[in-house]
Amino acid sequence: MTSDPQTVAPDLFTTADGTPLAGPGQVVGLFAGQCTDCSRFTFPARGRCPSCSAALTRVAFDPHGVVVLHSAVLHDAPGALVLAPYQAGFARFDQDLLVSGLIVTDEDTDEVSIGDRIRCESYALTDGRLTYAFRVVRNEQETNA
Amino acid sequence: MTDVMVAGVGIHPFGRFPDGYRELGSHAVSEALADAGIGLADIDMALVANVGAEMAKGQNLLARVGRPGVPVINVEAACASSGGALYLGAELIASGRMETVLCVGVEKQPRGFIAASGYEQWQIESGLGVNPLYFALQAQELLEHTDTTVADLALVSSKNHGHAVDNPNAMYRKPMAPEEILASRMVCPPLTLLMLCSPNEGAAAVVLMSRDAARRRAVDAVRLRSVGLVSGGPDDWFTPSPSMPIHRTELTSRAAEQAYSRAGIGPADVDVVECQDTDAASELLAYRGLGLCEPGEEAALLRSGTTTLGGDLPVNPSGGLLSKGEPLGASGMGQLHELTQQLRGRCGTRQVDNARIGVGHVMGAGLNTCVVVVSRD
Repeated sequence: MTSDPQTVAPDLFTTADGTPLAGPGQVVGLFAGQCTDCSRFTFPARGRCPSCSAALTRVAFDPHGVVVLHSAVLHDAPGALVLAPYQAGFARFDQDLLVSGLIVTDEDTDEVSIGDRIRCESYALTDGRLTYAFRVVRNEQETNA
Repeated sequence: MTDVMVAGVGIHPFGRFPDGYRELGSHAVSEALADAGIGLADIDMALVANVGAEMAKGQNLLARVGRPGVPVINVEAACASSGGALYLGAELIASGRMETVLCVGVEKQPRGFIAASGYEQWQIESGLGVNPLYFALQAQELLEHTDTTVADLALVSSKNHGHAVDNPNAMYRKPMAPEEILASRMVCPPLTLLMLCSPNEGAAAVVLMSRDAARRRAVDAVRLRSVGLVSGGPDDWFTPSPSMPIHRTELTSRAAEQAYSRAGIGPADVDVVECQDTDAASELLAYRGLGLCEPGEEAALLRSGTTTLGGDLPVNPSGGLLSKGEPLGASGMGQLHELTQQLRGRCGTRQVDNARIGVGHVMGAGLNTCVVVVSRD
């Protein structure tokens, strides 16, 4: 296990193209854990399988998913290094896993809807470290980029 | 197995107070002991539910009332802490190991968002350690998959605030129209401020006794028929889990199945319910989880008036957490206080007619969930 000092926690995500993580806005894949026995996925890849307690192996998800639930935090939350208001929710990935995360949009399209396609990106916290966020993508070409 | 009885109940009102948790808790304990007609020297054990106080909290609290010299054990299971204490107390009596167990719930919860709900540091720093966010996402899922509307969420809160008007132990006792609730400050869409409960302070205590002991003392006891208690399984989801499977089991359903099975009853037998209305949508989800309606019929049950005082199955006649506020460790014990008084017929203008079977329900972080069943006999 490696620790990247630029990220909010080690082993949450990696760049999708294998290049070094350099800053916000890079396309990233979440590191999920896949059970070595029952193949179940969980995020993040911590501990052991929630179903059968077998060991997990780390798998990088494809960056693309779909918004299944979304809301917003309108007032600053204790300990958060994200300034309110901000949007957050759950996205569904190919492995039939729903993962929570920040949701960001382009400035001119602030509305988020269930079913919106997203891609995972690195996102800068107020202290400069990186977490992940789900960026809503509006056209097919961009999704498949 | 021996029948377990609720022989006495006591409560310190829920709200904001200058006193510390020891004073709040000892007030509730003294009231419960007096209600049961016993002294502290008569208990075999005390179980004290609390989330945020100091170490040896139960021992420190009880020292305000006396030092019985019996075991005092502190129990913490987030918002279901009271359920954990009741579960253990009931098991000890049912097994014949003990005759009288004092269960106490107490809390002095700071204002604002509940911190330290089990999130990892990266979740908190990433802005994802915010309880109301997840309540809002649950609410959105309910709105998306059923005919529930935002107006229904306001109706839940309005109903419970209406119930609390006559509850001297509630923090908020002013009736609130749905329009006022909808117009209150948005916290996490679709939930407005008045659709969310306020974490606060309070205490409640319950004296559990074997049926024989209660009979000997000739107390006005109700029967604690069962306590269903679960923590997170692989397919459950609640805060603070950062991921969840698409097909999920429901914590409340799992706890309710246990409780109904052990009690030998079904949801159709229930006369009154006190459930975890942390937010307005949570109450509707509890209707489903407790088997009061089929999935998808939550809003219809609410709109029918069935769950309003005067309806066939009042839910949260105390005003619920939306009106009482939520002192985490005490909320479940407060529910049992209300249910016991309802079954005794002592609730005055908020009395549920002919209440013979009551159900309490709490759930919280750590995916801890508890359902209790009490009955008049």
